[in-house]
Amino acid sequence: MSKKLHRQLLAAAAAGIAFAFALIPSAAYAQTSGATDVTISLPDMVILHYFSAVNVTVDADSLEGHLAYTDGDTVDETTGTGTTTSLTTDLAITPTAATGDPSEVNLVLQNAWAVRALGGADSSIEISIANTTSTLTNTNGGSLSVSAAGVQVDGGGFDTTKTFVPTGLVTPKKGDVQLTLDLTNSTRSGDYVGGVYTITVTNL
Amino acid sequence: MRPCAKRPLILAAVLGLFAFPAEAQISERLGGLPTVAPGGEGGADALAVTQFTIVGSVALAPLTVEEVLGIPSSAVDAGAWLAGADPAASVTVNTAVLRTAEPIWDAWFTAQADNPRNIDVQLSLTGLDGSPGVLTHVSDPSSRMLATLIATTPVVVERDRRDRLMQGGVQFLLDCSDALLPGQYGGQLLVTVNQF
Repeated sequence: MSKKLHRQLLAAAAAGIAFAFALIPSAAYAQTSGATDVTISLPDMVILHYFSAVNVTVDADSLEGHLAYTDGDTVDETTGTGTTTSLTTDLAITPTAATGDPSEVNLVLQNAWAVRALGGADSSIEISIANTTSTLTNTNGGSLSVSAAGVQVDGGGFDTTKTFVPTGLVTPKKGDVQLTLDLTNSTRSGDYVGGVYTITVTNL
Repeated sequence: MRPCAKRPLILAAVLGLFAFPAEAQISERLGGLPTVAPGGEGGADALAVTQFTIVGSVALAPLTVEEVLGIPSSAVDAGAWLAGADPAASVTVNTAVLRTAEPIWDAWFTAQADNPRNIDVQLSLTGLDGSPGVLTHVSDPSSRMLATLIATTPVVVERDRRDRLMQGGVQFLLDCSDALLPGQYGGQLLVTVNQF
């Protein structure tokens, strides 16, 4: 092989390599970047989930259990003693007081409300309950009154006002309601309607 | 290290021939055009991108209760109570609240022989505490919003025989599931534009 031919082959090979090199795709050959500050704000949020209607059927066993009776019970009031000068006598029965007071029957509504809240670092959420309309009536006669209402958070006992820390948006804080029923004037079975309680939530 | 410079250098070492860094080739072809990034912190080594500008800050519109929870008011009627019912079951958090910032960057691209070339936009976000992919609360970084970033398609807004000006923006899909505090959330968005 002559030196000239050798040089030509080398040149051709070099040109081929150069061509092949040109075909090899490179990664990004131009790159530039910049940074920017991003801000967005979230508002204070308090979302109260509530039930607009509460229909509770109090079964006989539960109510009798509160009074410490069972349906159909007979209560022996021991010996009735009377003195008679005629054929009429007064045995003066005095029924034993029920173990549970029928004027204070606590009705607990579990998970009756829930609150989603976003509050500041030092803030707390206050929930309160008001016994807005306390008398419920029965169309068959008689009435029932709600003598007290309370809310409870995390099993901490019932009160008219409770506070807790905000729990964010995803996992709401749930709580209970307790209504203290006074059955003093409840003379009829059936539906007692018309009571209203109001729950208020405040981001403190 | 730019991949564009890396590969030719490696090839040159293997071939032992006339290859020289692509960086040098391009600079020569462009006649040493200056590269500036007035609004950003990078861009010093860009070549075909002759000017890159990004806004210094973006204030996204505040989020609302309606957007986050899909409800118009602050009290939600769960209907009639039933034993065991969950009063909050009817509401779920929207994990993809959309915010768009557009345009936030623009760049002049110098036309090449094989113009138009492909533009690739890469986005990354870091919270105020340096956590990736989130915006964090200004006072407590444990309260945060997850952010999914989507680059809007860059558009040509101006061109001449040699160059073209392109603009692009960013869409944020915000998830407030881990946001526990109201107030300001912040972070830093890094936009990287590659031309292939």
